[in-house]
Amino acid sequence: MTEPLLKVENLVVEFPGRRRLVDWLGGRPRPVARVIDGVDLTIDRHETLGLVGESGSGKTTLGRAILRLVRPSAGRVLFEGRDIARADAEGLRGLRRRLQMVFQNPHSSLNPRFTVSAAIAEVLRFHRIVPEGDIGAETARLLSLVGLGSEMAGRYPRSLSGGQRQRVGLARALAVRPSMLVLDEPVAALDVSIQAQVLNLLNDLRGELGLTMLFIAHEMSVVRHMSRRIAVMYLGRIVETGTTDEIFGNARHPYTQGLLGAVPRLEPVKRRRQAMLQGDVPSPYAIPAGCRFHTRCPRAEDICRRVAPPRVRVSATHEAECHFAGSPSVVPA
Amino acid sequence: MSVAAASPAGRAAAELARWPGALKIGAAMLALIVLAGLAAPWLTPYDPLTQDLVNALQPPSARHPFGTDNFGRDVLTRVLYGIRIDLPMGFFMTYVPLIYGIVLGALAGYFGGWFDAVLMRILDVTVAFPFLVLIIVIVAILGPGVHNIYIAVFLTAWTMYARLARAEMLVERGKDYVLAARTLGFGPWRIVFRHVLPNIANSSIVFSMTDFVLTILLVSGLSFLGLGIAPPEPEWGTMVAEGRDFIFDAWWICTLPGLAIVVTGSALSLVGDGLAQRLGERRHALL
Repeated sequence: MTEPLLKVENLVVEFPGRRRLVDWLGGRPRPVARVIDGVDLTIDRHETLGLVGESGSGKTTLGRAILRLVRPSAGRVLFEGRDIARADAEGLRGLRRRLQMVFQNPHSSLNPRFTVSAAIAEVLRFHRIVPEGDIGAETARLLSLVGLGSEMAGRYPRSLSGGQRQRVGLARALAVRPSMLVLDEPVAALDVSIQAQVLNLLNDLRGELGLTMLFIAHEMSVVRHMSRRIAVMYLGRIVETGTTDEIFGNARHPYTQGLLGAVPRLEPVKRRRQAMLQGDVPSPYAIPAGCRFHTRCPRAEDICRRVAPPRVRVSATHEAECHFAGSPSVVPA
Repeated sequence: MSVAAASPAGRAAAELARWPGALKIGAAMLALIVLAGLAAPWLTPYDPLTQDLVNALQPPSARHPFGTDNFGRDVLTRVLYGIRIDLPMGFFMTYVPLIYGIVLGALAGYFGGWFDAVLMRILDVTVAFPFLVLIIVIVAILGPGVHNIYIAVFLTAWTMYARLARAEMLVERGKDYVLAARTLGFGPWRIVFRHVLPNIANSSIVFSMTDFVLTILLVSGLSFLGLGIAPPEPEWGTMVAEGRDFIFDAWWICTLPGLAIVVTGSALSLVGDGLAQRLGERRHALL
């Protein structure tokens, strides 16, 4: 077994909060938001891992920490065996050529002042991907790779649709010929009809270019379409991982079950009231003691309020952080 | 996407058609004022400095449309030549600080840290004084004169732009296109100057029109107070100050140069309002 392409070990990301005068006078420490609270994750070469969770679960921050857009407070992010969190400028530059990101909001992820071709050409020139004379041809090749005609080259982002912009963002990320992409909710802001097109494009590119992907989403159905393995994130921790079949057929964590209950169904008759998630994700400034999910868990017992649950191994590929993960599904599906 | 009008002239016409009325009127007024300043020697037969005491204090007439002052100089001539003093001073005192103000503010906003902290404290101190009082104090210390007004304005006028640019940078910094640029490995200087600055310059440019008016008023005001441009130079504020003594006998000496200030200020304000509309609507289309 070769080593995984990306390995995240016990990653912690904290953001300092605002310290109020009362706190300071009372000698209380500056509040800290633990947005990522000890995450372990591995992604093999050519694999796509789906990362799901509600907004506020820390999944976007995790993606950004992997690219070192935010600095981790502790832990390691190993990409091809090298620690990203401690890479120097030179190492980081090399890393930027192999690990790229596609952003969620197609309306703000492109600079409004750059035409499509200028935005792509800048990347090619900066990283010297192709000789100066080939930049035009390479730009056209990248555009066709993401399914855009060369007539788009001279356009500004404001005259592109959301789906087209997302394709341009993808072409820019692919311009450096990366081996891995982090996709931060790449279709969440698009119309449903466009979502499918972009997802299919990503699927095709993955096969064609042999890409490894971390696919972040808040909808279970989108992740199911994209990945063979899924990690479920809640309040800064991965609470369950497993293959797509295991997660959809045999979810052990009540949170995952709640997310599955939130998958929209077409048939109104079969739409049962499952263990739907109530309330909001608690503040990362005050993570609940014991199991972090107990405040919303339909199955919470006394132990959940006191003891953080262990990581229970359900199968070789399936793990869940719940005191009751050993016993079968909480709510019959 | 406007695919039509590919020729430069066609594109200029298309752009002009989208200008709001205020911008058209303001730009036309401003263009006329600039032209009048440039063509002053050909527009009037008189010299702005040569005295003609025989014809002193003449009311407006066909020969002297704005009348003459107490030294017999043609007031219209002096107002026209005044454009050559007031407009360039206002321009440089506005746009030189604008450039480094935006750059400093943008860098402070992007990098944060000690540079930001130091810059913001300097800014707070500067802003704590009323602008005119601060300028007067600096000019009083350095002594009157054009050079010292420049120094005083260069020391203080950048603060508004720095503040504007910093605030906008704080917003832009978190946007996805900046994150994308960082992800692609672009350095901070490239990101600040090439990617973000063009996107945050709009509000400063709109504000600069107001500032331009205020700067002309400042130059005139300082000259009026005797701290700026000394007589006999045909500076508008100086002329108002000189004419003050004759305001009951010869109202035109101070009123008409004052009117020149008002007209110029109105032109710049109209341009500012028009630009705000035009750039605002474009920005709207961008987002």
